[in-house]
Amino acid sequence: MDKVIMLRYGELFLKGRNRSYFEGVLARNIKAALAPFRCKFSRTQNRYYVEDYSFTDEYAIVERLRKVFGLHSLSIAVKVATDYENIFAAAVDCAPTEGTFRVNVKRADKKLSMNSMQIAIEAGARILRAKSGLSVDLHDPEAVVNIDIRENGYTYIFGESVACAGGMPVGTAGRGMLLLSGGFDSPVAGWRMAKRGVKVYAVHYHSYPHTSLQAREKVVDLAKKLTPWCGDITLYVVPFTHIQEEIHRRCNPDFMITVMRRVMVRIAERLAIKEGCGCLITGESLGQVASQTMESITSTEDAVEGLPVFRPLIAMDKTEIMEQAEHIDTYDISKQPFEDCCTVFLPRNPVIHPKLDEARAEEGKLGGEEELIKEAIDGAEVLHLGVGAED
Amino acid sequence: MIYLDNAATTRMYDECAEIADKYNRELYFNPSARYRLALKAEEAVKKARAVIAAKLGADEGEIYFTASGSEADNIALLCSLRRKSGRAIVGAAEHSAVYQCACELERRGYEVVFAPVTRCGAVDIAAFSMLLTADTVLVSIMHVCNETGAVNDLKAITSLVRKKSPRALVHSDGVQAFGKLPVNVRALDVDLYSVSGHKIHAPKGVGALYAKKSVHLSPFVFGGGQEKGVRSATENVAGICAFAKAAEIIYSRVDGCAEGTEKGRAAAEEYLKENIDDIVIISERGKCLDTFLSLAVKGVRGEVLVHVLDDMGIMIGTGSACSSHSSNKRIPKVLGLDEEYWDGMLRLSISDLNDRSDLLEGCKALVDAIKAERKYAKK
Repeated sequence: MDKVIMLRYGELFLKGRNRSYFEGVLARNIKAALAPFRCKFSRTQNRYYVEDYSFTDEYAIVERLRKVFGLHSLSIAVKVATDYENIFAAAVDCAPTEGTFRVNVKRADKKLSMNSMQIAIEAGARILRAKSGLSVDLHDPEAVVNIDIRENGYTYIFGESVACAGGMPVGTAGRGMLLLSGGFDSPVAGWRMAKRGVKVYAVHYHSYPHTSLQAREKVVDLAKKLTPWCGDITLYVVPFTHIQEEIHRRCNPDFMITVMRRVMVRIAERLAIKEGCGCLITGESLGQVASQTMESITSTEDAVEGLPVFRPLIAMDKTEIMEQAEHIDTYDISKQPFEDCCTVFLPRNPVIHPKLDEARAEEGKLGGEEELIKEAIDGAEVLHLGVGAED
Repeated sequence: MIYLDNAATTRMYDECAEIADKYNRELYFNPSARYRLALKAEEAVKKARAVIAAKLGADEGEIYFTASGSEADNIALLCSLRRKSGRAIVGAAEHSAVYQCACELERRGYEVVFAPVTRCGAVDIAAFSMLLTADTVLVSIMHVCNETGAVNDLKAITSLVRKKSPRALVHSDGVQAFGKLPVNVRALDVDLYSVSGHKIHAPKGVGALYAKKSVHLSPFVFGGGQEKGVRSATENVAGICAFAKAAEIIYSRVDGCAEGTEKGRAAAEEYLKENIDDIVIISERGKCLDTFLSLAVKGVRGEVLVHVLDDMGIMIGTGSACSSHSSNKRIPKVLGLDEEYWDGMLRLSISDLNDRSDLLEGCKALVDAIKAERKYAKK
């Protein structure tokens, strides 16, 4: 009796003729998730199987697979050569010891003498004989023993299904450049776009020595945390100190953040184009802070020349965002108190509703902006974070 | 490289590294085992215990090895009290290991009060005296303040306690004092005294608690009964032996370098005062150890200065390394610093492994960094 992880995918079915493309990308993503483990991965119609893995890796493999977007659910099954005694023995093992249960049988292999109903009745009878604490409930059972008899000569017996991440396979909806700060919001924003199939790239603005090395590490850790969901992430750590110093020197201090954010999106857009991204992604949530009022967002967007800016959190409450951060396990990293570049040079009275012409005029005071941007991009540190880098 | 954060931790003495290596790789045996080589390990722990006891003026039976100074503080505060209620008086500027234990005592139903400190971090004796009551069960005042180097007059403190609160146990966190000051627990009349290895060039992961014979300690770690059942766990033989060696070496040097340290410290302070406005020297000369120079500057965040100096190969601290990860402003508040200085706290601390010129060099670099960074003060 070998153990096998059976994987099922969800929304892909909706994709009609493109289905094989989506399946191919999903299979590639699953293989990447499984790369650290010794195991065999195979595909049949509508299903994927992971087998020949070490028992000690099972938990880690399941946890990894649960984060692959495009997978709907998985079950840990016992795989036996199709033979009645094997099947019934495995069904008895699979059943719980108490409560109510039902047996479900799917019989793709029509060569067997017993039909599905007969197999279910016999398996149920054997289970009841072996486990006296159980009773049958066909309508609302506490446990279901599934017997899946395939045409390939093997039968899979399994209990509960484990929910996976759902969504679309990463890479099927293009690429996006995520502006990743050290806060709660931007990792969640990246995660949500990845769930819709976007391959995420990231850019972080670093203001050493005004911010700490830990602040940079924190962002690297956040990006690593996203890799099981998003796949490999290329993270640009852009030195932003010189730009901030110049803004501080030349512009109205109340517009510090406004101008900073305009320059940030300019840099992000250039990096995005370089990486073939079709959009920018930010963690902005309307009204959350001064730089996220409608006017501030308009002012920031004004500096983006061609790409759309996706803001998947725009209408979410902070508490909802925090809950998602907990779900994707970035919460504990984000809450570390290292300041990011936005909190340095904070003016006493930042302008909350910047007028577009004023924002443009303030940015215009920044002589040599093109050189500053080029210097920042040239000085960027590029990190390629592989799947599972969070380990 | 100039390392000026010795109050956070120190470089291990070569001799200690050799000893640790010996007990990790040659005599790595469990002291509780019954073969000959294990007895050697047991013997080594015994000797080390005698050394630490001697340096503290205590008996061997009064020394409990721990995994850290923080652990020693935890045992002292959480495992020594027999009464279930009463007052506990703790210095307001104590290390977080003591401060957090005090908060735990409060949760357990004790009345916890904090003794105010002066601007340099020493307990204000007059104010402290007012807090002593007949139902006081515990007093915990550090010997040397880890933030400022301020030396508390422990003897005066204990004599007040004995007079006004005869039922109270007196604990002192001696982590920053041990190896820098002569310590005699009997003369100081303390009941409990915590020390740590890595602050005196021993490895991290070893400390000790002195507990007077008459003090009953309840178990902190249950298990095989080591350390008289108070702190079960296979002894960290390598760490313990290296700790004893470090204590021997450092106490052979304490007096020898005192004069040079004092002069170097004075020169550094003068340089800072002459070259920088809006600076507060927290470590007051004569009241604080000369190995400490704590200060606060206005208009620049301490952390930024740490980064700038780091790029120049100079390492300094932003106050206690154990608390620098939190945005807790407890220490600058209790020191009575003006709010505009809170973010600008820095701590430079030297050890016997520093060159005499290191502190001044560090201060010169610091002055340049402060001048450069003040350009970016909030507009």
